Amino acid sequence: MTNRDEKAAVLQGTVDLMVMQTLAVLGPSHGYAIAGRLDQVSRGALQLGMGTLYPGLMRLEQRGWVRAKWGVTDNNRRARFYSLTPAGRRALETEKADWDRLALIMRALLDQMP
Amino acid sequence: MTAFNHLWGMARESLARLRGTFHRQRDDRELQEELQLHLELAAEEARRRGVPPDIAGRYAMIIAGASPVMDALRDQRGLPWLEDLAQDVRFAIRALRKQPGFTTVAIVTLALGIGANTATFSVVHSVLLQPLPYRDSARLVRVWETVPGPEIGNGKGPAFKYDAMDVADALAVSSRSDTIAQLAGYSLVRPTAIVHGAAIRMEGFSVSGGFFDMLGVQPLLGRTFSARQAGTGYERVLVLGHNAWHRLGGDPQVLGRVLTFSADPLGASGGGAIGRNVAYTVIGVMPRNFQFPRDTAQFWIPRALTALANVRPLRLATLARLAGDATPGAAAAELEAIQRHRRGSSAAAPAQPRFELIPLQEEVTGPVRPALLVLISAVAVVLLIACVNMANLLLARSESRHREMAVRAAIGAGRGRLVRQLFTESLLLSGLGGVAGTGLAYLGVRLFRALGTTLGRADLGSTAVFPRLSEVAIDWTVLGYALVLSIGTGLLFGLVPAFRGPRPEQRNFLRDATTSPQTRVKSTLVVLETALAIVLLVGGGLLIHSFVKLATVDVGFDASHLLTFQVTVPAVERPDQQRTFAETLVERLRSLPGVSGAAYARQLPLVQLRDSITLTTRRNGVEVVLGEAPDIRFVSTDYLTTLGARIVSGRGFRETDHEGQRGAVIINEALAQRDFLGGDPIGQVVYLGTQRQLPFEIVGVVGNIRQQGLDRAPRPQYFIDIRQVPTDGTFRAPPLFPLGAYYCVRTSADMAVLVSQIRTVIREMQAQATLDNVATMEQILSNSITRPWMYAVLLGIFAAVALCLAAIGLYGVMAYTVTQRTREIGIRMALGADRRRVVALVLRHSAALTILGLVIGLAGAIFTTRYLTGLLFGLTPLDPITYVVAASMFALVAMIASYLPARHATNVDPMIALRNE
Repeated sequence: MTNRDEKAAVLQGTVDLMVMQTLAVLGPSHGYAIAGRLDQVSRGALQLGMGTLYPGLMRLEQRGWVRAKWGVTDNNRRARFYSLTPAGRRALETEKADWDRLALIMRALLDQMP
Repeated sequence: MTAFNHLWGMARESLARLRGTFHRQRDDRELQEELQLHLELAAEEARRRGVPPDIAGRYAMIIAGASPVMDALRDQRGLPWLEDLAQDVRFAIRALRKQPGFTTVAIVTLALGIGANTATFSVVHSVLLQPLPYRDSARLVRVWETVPGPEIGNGKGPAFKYDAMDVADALAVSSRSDTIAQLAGYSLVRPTAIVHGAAIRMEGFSVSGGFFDMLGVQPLLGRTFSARQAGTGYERVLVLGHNAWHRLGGDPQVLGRVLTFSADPLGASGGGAIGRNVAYTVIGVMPRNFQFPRDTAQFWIPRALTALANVRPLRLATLARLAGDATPGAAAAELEAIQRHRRGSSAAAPAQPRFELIPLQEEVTGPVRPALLVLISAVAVVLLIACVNMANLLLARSESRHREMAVRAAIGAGRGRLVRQLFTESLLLSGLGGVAGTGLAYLGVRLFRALGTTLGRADLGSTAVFPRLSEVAIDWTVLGYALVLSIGTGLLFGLVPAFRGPRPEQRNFLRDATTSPQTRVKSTLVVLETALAIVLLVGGGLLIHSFVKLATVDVGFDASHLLTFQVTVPAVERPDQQRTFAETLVERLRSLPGVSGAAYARQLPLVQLRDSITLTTRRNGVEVVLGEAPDIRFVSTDYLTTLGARIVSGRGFRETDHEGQRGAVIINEALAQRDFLGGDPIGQVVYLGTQRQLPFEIVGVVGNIRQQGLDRAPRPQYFIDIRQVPTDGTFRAPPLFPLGAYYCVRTSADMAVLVSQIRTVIREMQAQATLDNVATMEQILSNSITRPWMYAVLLGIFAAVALCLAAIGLYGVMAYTVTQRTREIGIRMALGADRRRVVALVLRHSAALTILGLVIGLAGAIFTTRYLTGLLFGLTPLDPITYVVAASMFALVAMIASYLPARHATNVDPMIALRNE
């Protein structure tokens, strides 16, 4: 339990990035599909809880970075489909660049010899 | 660009959440549906993998809408703190509506406190805090000069203080001074204007050239005149005041029009030409708030200082602007040096005139500052009492809500949330009180301006006038003050119940409820507000008592049924003509129906024109100057009789005391007592000043008349029949009627009817004669005590409000204790106590509180009423009668406030009381 909480806390700041990247790859998808994709790509390491995923989606929607539409799944179920807006695409590019830069810095920092 | 994108996103999120707080774009059902799908899909996948699904519970929670995920979504949807606040407010409104009685008392209490404070602050703000409406007005000073008294006979005369400067000095200063940047003189002129054939007496000021430049106020229309234009002298141009412009029709095309005066307002001495019908061209109109030097000013005309200096020694009221960073003290020192240099006297000479430069704002508002500070302090005490009352009310209320709070705590409301709820209620109450109070403040300001309304006559002096009264208004600053006050009081009285959570009390049989901790807090608060109310009651009582003394002081004449007025006759200019006109008019007035006496004089009581001439007499063959120059009054033969003054000994004036006869003089008691203690003054011969050619015989002594003000002790004074003043130039006297002749008529008829009759009489005598300054003597007297009247009424109102609030507080606490003691009282009654003893039981408690509050309050009053000293007439701040009356009044009100709950206690049914447990 605590383990998962910690993981969630670490990932909280990057939820936006992950969700938007997933939407960029998958195209319009509902929440469960996004969560499933993340689970799959991370090989089970990333199990995004509903309490993180859905408020995150709502936040992105409020920022105008994603938009949502009610639609029907392959199994004929009503679901809310999320897709990136043009502003969302731009935001994704920025966030990705930021993340890359941070990752490089971290790498360089951690590679230092003692 | 990207950073902008990010910021834009944040802003949109905030907006969306703010919107979401009030309008749900996505309601709970929609959120639930999305989550349900998620769980269903997860369950299917689990089944496919052969894992037993453990999500049933979560599913149920989401359907119930109570899952943490739903909470997180709801929080993200709107702004949680705002939603909580809205919920708190909604709840508070519901709670307040459930108890309309409590809510009404609370809002009225607060409205009185906040309203009185806001109104009083608006006065303080407009009068004391706002700078005067002139450019850089803090640098403006008025010049006062103290001239040492002359050597007279057996001693030295008193120094004389002028609020005016010698014109020659003023000219020297304006050309030489380093500390004074600008300087302007001004003096009152009262010409008669001819408008559409009718004569109108007007009041204006002749001002020297720098006047408008120095004040830096732009005209509403046209232009003003500058130093250069006025400096050349005699240009006949005129700037109208806003009121006069309106009275003349308010025509926007007024510029270039001509205003015709029956004679040059500047007169011969002002450099103007003698002649009839002098035309002045209107060149400008000043804005409404330009009222310098006072609000009665109708116009301003230029007058060159240089033209005046050559005529004769003349003093002009002077206004100056300090240069750079010069202090008033430094400027005064330089003025003295310049004057010494100009007159060629040495610095060591003992009797040098002294200059004093007083900031204009201080001179204008200084006289009312102490009273305003007293009022604002008193009204703050009223608010404090209101807060104490509120704390008490809320405290009692919080106990009755014990159960409600416990339930809310049990279902998960944290202590913080409960405290916030209580504060929300307090702030809501104080907010509503603030709104109502602001409404009251508007009424208060109107009341204040109505109370301060005077006859608006320059000749009655400025001591009655409340300065800047027309500027008193509620503006944004004042509204901000009301807002701060509302929030402040809400937090203040909200503190007590919010942090004094309900505590379980020990249930104790026959326990005396008066000693429970709750009651102790309430009793302390009641004692506190009682004490505060007593202080205000004593203060208000002192001012009212003082006002009554002032209004009923013996003025030395009979002011009832006495009509006063002035008549100006432009065509009649020579002193002997003026006198003849007045004699004829008085003669005709006497024949009007209901008129029992008519007289005229150079001035009436309370008209601020004082003349004094020393008297010289001969004692044991030696000439003696009688002390400090007494006041001299030139009056008509019947003046003292018409006024109803008392002749103490000797006789009054007679028809035979006219010009050419041996002079007759009547002295007042003050003069008789000061200079004729040794013997009978009747029959003694005196001379006016040094004019030996005209001896006067003292023929009578008249009772003292209050001439300068009801609060001023009568000065030594003597009366001369105006007909005995030689007008052929052999007698050196100031102009006969410098302010115009004053008339008074004693009548039993209706005043309004009489006025129209008088108007007809005057018209018949002279077509161009004007009747003005019509007022009954009683109006003039009450006008002179306008300020004490205002202070007494206002502090009286504050004291009355304080008394009511304290009574409400006492009532509340007594009612509360009676409820708390229901059981005890029931048992006592079951054991045989009768109604009287039960009432006594309750009254004893309230009496204890009241007496304690009284003692503390009276002690506080003794300590604080010293600040009223300057406002009191005829009594000291420790006046015992006022203290006794205030204390008894409070005791009586307290008795009533506690008798009601006491009587209620006797209605307790012992059976019900005992079953209550």
